[in-house]
Amino acid sequence: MKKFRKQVKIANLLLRSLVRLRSMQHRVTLHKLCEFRDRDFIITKDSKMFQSAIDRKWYLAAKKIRSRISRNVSQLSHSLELFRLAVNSDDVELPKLTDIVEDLFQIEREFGSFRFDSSEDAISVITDPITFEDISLGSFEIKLFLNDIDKISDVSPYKIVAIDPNPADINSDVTHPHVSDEILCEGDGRIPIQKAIQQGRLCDFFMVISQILQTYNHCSPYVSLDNWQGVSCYDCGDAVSCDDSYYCEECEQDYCSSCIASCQICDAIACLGCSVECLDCRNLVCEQCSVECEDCHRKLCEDCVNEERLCISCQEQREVQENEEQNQEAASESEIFSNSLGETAVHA
Amino acid sequence: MKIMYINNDGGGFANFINIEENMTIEELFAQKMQHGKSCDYLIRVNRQPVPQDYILKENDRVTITPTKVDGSKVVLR
Repeated sequence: MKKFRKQVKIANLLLRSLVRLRSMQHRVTLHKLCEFRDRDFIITKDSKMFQSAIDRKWYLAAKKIRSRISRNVSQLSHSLELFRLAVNSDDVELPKLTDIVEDLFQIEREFGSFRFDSSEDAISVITDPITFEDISLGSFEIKLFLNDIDKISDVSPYKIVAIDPNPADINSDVTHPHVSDEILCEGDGRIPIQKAIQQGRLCDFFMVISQILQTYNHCSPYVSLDNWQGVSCYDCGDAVSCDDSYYCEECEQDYCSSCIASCQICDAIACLGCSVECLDCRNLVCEQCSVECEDCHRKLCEDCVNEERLCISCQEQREVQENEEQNQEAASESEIFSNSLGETAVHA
Repeated sequence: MKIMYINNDGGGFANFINIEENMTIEELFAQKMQHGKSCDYLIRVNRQPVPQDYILKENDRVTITPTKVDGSKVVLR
């Protein structure tokens, strides 16, 4: 037996946790039962009040009591459903100590070995290196904290730790398409995992998790493999690969192709926020190629202003103005000639 | 004949079931996993891999674990 000391120690720890979990389950069932009983008690009390209100012909009071009963009946059916779920949930089955020890030997056969960290009372195995679509994610340590098993309804009692992490470029907490912040999103494996824990089937627990880690569900990853080595668009938030991303030198951020523009004059790349839309031709230009009209102060592209930094309309306006001034001058001159005033005879 | 049957797929069934005498593991798999291929599962009897023609015995412990289990982004608890 000395030979199996470690195994027996783990088995005892697991059994103790399962006993706590079973006790917790009973407490939850009792709590739900009490809730149901309290609601039933309130309705019974109200029904007596309802009866006496009718007998006394206090119809207004009867109406109020009836609406209260109606409300409580809805809550009673909800409490009943919660109680039914609690009472029908699988009971925690305590495995035999020898079963757990045999499970630990099976873990050694399936995974090569297991590790027991006595400071955290955690048992862990290491998966084979995982590679999806040429992206190497490395091996993962599946670490089960035996003392947290009884808290399974609130927190995950295990963690998935990347041994040689290659996290997604856009989120360093995502070390695997289905692992974020060391928490696995179990998906289809949720119920088998819970049942394996509740029944103390350690090897099944590790095997199901290992299979989840070795499966890529392209429908629902935290970060899809297409975007694994990519960046997140600063504008729309979409993940884009490094090759498809654009860098705006003005704001120094990365953008996707939908949120970037090329200057129509100098071809410089700028994001939509740093680009300027010419109010005349509607073309997008970079800040350097935009000019403010001297007269109307509208922002325009260089092509839509003249050498005097005037837009076409302001230019036309100026021309009209100048013409008018010239005409006025001409008119005043002709008035002088018609009156022959101020005229001096000049000899040739 | 009674055996312990653990299915780590779907609902995670784990209980004793009655099977016919001289049933092989292959026949049990075909009966229980009608739409599955045995190559997509890790099949263990008494915690060990066995050949397809292994004849099940009283109180054997059969475990079937899919090799592909879809994880997801959102988990509803």
